[in-house]
Amino acid sequence: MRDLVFVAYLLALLFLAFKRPFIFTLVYAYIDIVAPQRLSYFLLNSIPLSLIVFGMAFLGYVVADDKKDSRFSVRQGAMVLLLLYCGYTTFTGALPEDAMEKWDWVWKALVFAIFLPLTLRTKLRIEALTLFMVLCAATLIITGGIKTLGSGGGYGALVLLIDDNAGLYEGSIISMVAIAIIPLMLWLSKHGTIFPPDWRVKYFTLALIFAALLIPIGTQARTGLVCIAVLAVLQLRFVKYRFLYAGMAVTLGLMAIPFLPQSFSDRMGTIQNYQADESASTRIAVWEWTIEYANANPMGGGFNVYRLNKLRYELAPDKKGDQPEQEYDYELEDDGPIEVIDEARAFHSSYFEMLGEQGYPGLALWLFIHIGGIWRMEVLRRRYRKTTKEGEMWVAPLAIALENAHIIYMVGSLFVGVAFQPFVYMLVALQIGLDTYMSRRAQEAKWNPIAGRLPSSTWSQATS
Amino acid sequence: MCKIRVMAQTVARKGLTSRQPKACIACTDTHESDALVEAAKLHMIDNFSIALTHGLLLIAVWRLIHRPDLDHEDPPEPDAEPEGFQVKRN
Repeated sequence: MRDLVFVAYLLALLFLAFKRPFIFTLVYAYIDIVAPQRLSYFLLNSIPLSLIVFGMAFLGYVVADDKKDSRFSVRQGAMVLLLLYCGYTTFTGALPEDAMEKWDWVWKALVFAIFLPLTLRTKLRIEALTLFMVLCAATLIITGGIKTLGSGGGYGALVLLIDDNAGLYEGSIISMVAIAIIPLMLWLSKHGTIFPPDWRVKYFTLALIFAALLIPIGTQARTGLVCIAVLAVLQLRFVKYRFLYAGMAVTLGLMAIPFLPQSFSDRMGTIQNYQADESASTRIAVWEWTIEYANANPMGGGFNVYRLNKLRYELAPDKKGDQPEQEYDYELEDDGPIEVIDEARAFHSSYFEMLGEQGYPGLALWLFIHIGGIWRMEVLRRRYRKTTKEGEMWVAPLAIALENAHIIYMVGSLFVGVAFQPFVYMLVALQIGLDTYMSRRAQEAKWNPIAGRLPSSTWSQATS
Repeated sequence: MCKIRVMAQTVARKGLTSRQPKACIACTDTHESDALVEAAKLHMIDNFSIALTHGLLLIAVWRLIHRPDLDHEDPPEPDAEPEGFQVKRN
C-alpha cells in the first residue's frame, strides 16, 4: 500500500514539475534526502529513480530555464577539482574495488552540488530549496522525536522509518543534521513566503525544533550533544539579551536532566572518561594511523582506505565503582590497561577521512570549500545586516542561519565521517546560490547616475 | 494450539486486516501481542510523520507553481547613494 502511495505522490510531484521545471530539482533533493525508494518494497526500488529525476532536472534547466542569470563561483570550481581528484584517487588508490563502492554515490552528490547553484537564481528558489531540505529532514526528525518521547530511544535502537544505516538514517548523522538545520527552521518561520509567518507556522516550527532536540537523546549519539552545545553558543552571538538567554539555556538544560533516560546520561558520561571507552579509544588509534598513512602517502589512498588499518591500543579499565562491570568481547587478565587489537576501523572524523582517503590536496580542497562557505556567509551577513531595503531584510538572517548550520556541521564532523554527506553538499550549494544571487542583484542595484546611462554624445550636447 | 492461533493472528494482521476474530484475541501470548501492538504504534508514527511532511511538501509545490517570482523577479531597488569605489569617482 505504501508503495502505491509513494508512486502516486511522486507522479503528482513530477506532473506539477512540468509546469515549472525548477520543481524537478526540488524533487531530486527530496529523493536524495528521504530516499522513498528505500521505504518501499517493490516498484520504486526497482528503477534508478534518482538518476531519472536528476536527468529531468538537468534537462529542465538546459531546455526551459533562463541561463543568463546563472553564475559559476570559485567554490563550484573547487568542487569540480575535488570531483576530478576523487576520481583520480579512486582508480589509482590502494583499494580500487573498495573505493568504487563509495565513488558510486560521492560523484552524484558532488555533481548535484555543482549543478544546484546554477538553478538558484531567484529568492523564491533559494527559499524553496531551504524549505524542501528542512521538510524532507523533518520526515525523519518528527518520527524520531515522537518515538523518543514514547520510548526514550537507545543507541542503535531508534528506528527512523526503516532499519537502515545509510545517509541521514544513521543515528550520528541525523543527530548532527537535525541540530544543524534548527537555524534554517527559525529563518523559514520568520522570513518564509511559501508558508508566511502565522500561528500555525510558529507552532509547527517550535514542535519541529523540539523534535530535533530530541533526536540526539533518541539516538544517543554523543555528537548530537556536542552539536546542541555549539548551537547554544552560536545563538548567543546574535541574541539581544545575552545574559538572559544564557541563564534560560542553562536553566532549561538543568531542568531537562531528570527527564532524560538513564541510558542517555550514562552514554553521555563516557565523553569524560574517553580512555575507558572503546569507541573513543578506537578513534584516537585510527586518527594516529591516518596521520602516519598520510605522511607515507601524501596524495591519499582512495575511498575506504581505512580497511587497510590494523590497530593496537590500550583501554583503561572503567574506574567508576557504582557502574556494572563492562562487558568486552575479549578476556580480562588483570586490573591493568587492556590491550585491544582491531582492524578496518572507519575514520570517525571527516577531517581524517579526507586526509586518509584524498591526502593533503583533498583535505585542502575540502577545507577550502567548507571554511570558504562559512567565510562567505559572514561577509554577506556584514554586508546586509544594516540594509534599509525592504527586499533585502531576509539576506543577513539567512546568511547567519547557513553560517551557523555549517559551523555545527564542521564541529560535528570532527567525530563523524561525513565528508561527502549529500545533505551537507546541498547546504553548500544553497550558500553558493545565495552568494552568487546577491552578487548579481547588488550589481544590478548599483548606484548609477543618469549621466552615466546616457550616451556620451547626448551628454556633450546637453552641456554645450 | 495457542501458538498456532498467535501465528494465525500475526499472519492475518500482516496479510489481511488488523481486525481479528475474537477467538484469536482471547488466547494470545501477552508478549507476542504487546510486541504486535508496539510495532503497530511505531508504524502509525512513521505514517503520521510521512503524511504530515509530504502533505506540506505538496502544498509548497502547489503554491510554488502559482508564483511568477519563482522564475522571474522584478529588478532590485536601486542604491540610494554610491557605494564602494564609486564614492571616490564622484
